[in-house]
Amino acid sequence: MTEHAKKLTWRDQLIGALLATGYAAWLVKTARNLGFARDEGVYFSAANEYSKWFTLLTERPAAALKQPAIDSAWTTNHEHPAFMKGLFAISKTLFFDKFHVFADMSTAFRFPGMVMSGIALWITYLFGARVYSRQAGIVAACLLGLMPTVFYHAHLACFDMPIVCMWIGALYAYYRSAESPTLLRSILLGIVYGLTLNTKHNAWILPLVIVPHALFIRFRETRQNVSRGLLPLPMNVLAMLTIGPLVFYATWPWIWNDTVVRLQQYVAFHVNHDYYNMEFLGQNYFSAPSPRAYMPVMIAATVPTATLLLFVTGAAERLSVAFKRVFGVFAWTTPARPDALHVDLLLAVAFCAAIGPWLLPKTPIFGGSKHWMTAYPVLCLFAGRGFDLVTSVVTKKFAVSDPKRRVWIQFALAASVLLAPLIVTAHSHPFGLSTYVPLAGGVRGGATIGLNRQFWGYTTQNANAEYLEKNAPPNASVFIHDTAWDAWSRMSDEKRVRPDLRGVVGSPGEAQFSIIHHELHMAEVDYQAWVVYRTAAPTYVVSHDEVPIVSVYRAR
Amino acid sequence: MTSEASAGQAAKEHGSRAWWFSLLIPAVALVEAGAHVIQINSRIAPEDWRGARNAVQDAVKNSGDTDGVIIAPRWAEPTARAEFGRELATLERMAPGDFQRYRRVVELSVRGEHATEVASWPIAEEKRFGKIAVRIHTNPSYEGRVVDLLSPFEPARATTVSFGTADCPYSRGPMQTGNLGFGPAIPGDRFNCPNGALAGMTVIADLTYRPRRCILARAGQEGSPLRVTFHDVEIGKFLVGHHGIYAEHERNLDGAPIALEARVNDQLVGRDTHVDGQAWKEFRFPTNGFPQRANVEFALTSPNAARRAYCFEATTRGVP
Repeated sequence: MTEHAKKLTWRDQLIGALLATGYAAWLVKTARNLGFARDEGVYFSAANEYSKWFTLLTERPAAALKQPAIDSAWTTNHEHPAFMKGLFAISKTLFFDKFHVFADMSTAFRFPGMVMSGIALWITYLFGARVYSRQAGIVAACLLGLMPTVFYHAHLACFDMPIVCMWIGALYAYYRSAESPTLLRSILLGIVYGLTLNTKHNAWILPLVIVPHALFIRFRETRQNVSRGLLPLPMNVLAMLTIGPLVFYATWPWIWNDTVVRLQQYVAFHVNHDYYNMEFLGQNYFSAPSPRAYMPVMIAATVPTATLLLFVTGAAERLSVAFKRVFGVFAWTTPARPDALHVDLLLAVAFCAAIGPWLLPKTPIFGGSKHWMTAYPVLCLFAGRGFDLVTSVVTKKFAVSDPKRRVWIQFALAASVLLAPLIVTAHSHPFGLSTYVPLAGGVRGGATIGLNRQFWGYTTQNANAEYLEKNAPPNASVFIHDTAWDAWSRMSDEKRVRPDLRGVVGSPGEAQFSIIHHELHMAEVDYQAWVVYRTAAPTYVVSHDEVPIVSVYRAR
Repeated sequence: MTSEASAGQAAKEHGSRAWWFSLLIPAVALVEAGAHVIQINSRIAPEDWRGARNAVQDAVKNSGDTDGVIIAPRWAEPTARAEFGRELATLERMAPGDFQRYRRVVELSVRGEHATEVASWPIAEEKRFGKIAVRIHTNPSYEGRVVDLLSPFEPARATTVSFGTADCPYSRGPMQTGNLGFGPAIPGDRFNCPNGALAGMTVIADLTYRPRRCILARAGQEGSPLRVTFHDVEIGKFLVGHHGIYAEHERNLDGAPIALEARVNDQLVGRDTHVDGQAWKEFRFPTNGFPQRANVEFALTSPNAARRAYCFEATTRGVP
C-alpha cells in the first residue's frame, strides 16, 4: 500500500456484506452435520443461564441488577468473558424461542459466531480494498474464509472466530481513527476494543500493537508533547485505553461486584491455564516448552499453499518498500507518496503479535492452530496484495489493454488461486480439525507426519450417523469418551444422536458401546476398551480420507 | 499513486524477471487443487482390505503364537483391526511385549509404509492387494521357542501372588475403567492383596502410547515386595521381559523407581530397575543350567507407590 488509501463507497460495503452474508449462509447450511465440541456444550449451558437473566432484566430490572441475581446467572463459565455468550443467549431467545428462525436451538446458539465470522471477512475486505485494492480485498476475504481450520471454528458457538473478527475489527477501527481522526471514530475504537476485551483474552495483546504504532506515526508530535509535559497519547489511543475497559466492565455483569477479585481470578485462570495434550510430529506434548517449530509447521500444514505463496509474495513486496523507505535501497516497487500511517507496519506488528506467543519457550500447546487465527486476516491481506502483484505482472506481460480481457484474466487468476482453498475447505467438513493441506499429504499425510487428528470430541455425531443409528439396540448405553455431557445431551435433544441412546461419561466398562476419539494421548482409553470388550477389533471405524477418526466398540 | 498502480509499476520495473514467477503462483495453486483431487480419490477398495485380511489370516492360522502381526502406518491400525475382527485382532497379537519373540511377523503395509520394528528383517513372502501389501518377515535373530508366562495369568496355570507376607487370593469380578487420566483398565479377574495391592492382566499405554499387554502389578504399601510366582515353567536360555509405567504416570519423570528381581527356583537370576523416562524397557537374564521346568518368581518393590501404574510381561526363550 498504501501510498494512498482509497475512499470506499457503498459498493464496497455491498461487496463486504455479500461476502459476509454468503459465508454465514454457507455456515448455517452446513451446521447440522457438525457435532458439538466440548466447549460448545459448556457455552450452551452458560448462554441458557444468561438468557434467563436477560429475561429477568426485561421483566424486573431492579431485581436483575442485584448481586444474587447476577451471580446466580453469570457464575456459570465466568472464566471467560461475556460478550459472545451474551449474544448466543440473545440469539437463542430471538431466533429459536421467539421467531423460530432455526429448527435447532444449537444453530441459534452458533449463529452469532457465524455472523462474526462473516463480519471478519467483511472487515478484511474493507481493509484490503482501502489499503491495497478492491480485488486484493475480495481475494483476501475469500482466502480467509477458505481455510479448513477457519471454516471449522466459524461454525461453533465459541470465541475463536469472534476474536478473529474483533481483532481485525479493532485494528481497522484504529486505522480509520488514525487516518481521519474524529472524536466519533475514537469513541468507536474504544467501544470496539472494549468488546474485543469482552470476547477473549487475546485482546490483552492488542495495545502492544496499537500504542507503539500510534506513537511511532506521530513521533514528532509525541516528542513535542512529552517535552511540554503533555500526555503523549493521541485521542484515539486514549479512547481505546479508557472507553475500552469501561465497555468491558459495563458489558460483563459478573465483574460488576467484587470487581478486583474477580478480575484477578479471570487473569489467573488464563495465566495459569492447564496444559492440554497435543500431538506434533508423532510425539505427545503436554506441558511447556512447546517445540518452536509447532506454529510454523502447523501453519504450513493447515493453510492452503496457494494462500501462503500469495502471502509471502505480498509480504515480501511490502518489506521491500519498507527497506526502501528506511534505507533507500532494495525496493520492489516505488511508492509515489510515502504512507504517513505506516499501515504495513501496523499489519506486520499485528501479525507478529498474534503468532509471537507461540514462539515463546514457556507457551504450551493448547488448542492447536486456533489460537493464532487472529493472524490470519492480516496474512490474507498480504496475500491479497500478493494477488495484486500477480495480476499486474501478468496483464502487463501479456499487454492486456482491453479492459474486458483484463477483467477476464483477473477472474481466471482469482479462480486459479481460490480453487484449491475452496475444494480443500469444502471437503474438510465436518472433519476440519483432521484436515491437512495437500502439501502435507492431506488427511493421510497429516496422520503419517503425526499431527493432531482432532480434539473436543465433536465427532461423536458422525459415529452415530454412520453406525449407532442403525446398529445399536434400543436404549443402548454408549460411552461418549471426549464428548462433554452438555454437548451429548444437546445432540440427543436435537436428534443428532438417537435420543434413546444412553450416554455414559464415566468409563467404557459401564457401556454396551464405546466411542473412542482418536488422538495420540487418548490411546489409553482405547486400550481400556480392548480390555473391556476383550478384543482390539472395533466394530466400526469412522474415517475421513481413510484416516480413522472414531472407533466404535461393541460388547458381545 | 494507487496501490494497483504501484503494483503495475512493479510489473514495469521487474516485468521481465517477475512474470514467470507470477504465473508460478497460480500454477502451484492449480497443482495444489489437482493434488487434493488425487489424494481424496485415491482410495483402498473394500475387496483389497478383505484380500489382505485373508492373507494375514492364512499366514498366521497354523502358527500358534510364533507369528506376530504388525500394521503400518500406525494410524491405519484401527481400520486394520476392524477388518481383522475378533479372531485376528486379539490382545496377544495387537499388544505384544515385543516382536523379537516371533519367528515370523506378518506386516500389513498400507500405501507402502513400513513398520520400523521389522523394517530390517528379510521378507520371505509378499502379496499385494491394490495399495496394501502383506509381507511375511522372518526374524533373523529368533531365539527359539518362546513360552509366554502371561497366557493365561491365573491360578489355573499355577500362578501365585503374595504381597509382603500375605498371600493374594484370586477373584473374579467387574473391571474398573475410566476416562482420560484413569490409567489402564484394572482387571476384575485378578489377585487381590492387602492394602489395595493387586496383580492382573491389562493393556497399558506405554510412554510412547503403544499398547502393551502385561501384568498390572500395583503395590499398595511402600517398600513391601509384590511377588508374582509362575510355577512349573518351561525354562529356556533366557528369561526375557519388559516393564514400563502407564504414560501419564511416567511422563513427568518424577515418580519413584521400581525394582524387579527375578528368581528361578529361588535363585536370583537378575534384577533391573525401571526409572521414569525409560519407557517400555527390556530385561534379559540368562537361565542356563536350570532344570527344564522350574518356578519363576518376580519380586517388585518401590519406595513410593503413588502414581505407579506399573506393568510387566515375561517370557522364557530358547526353550528346548
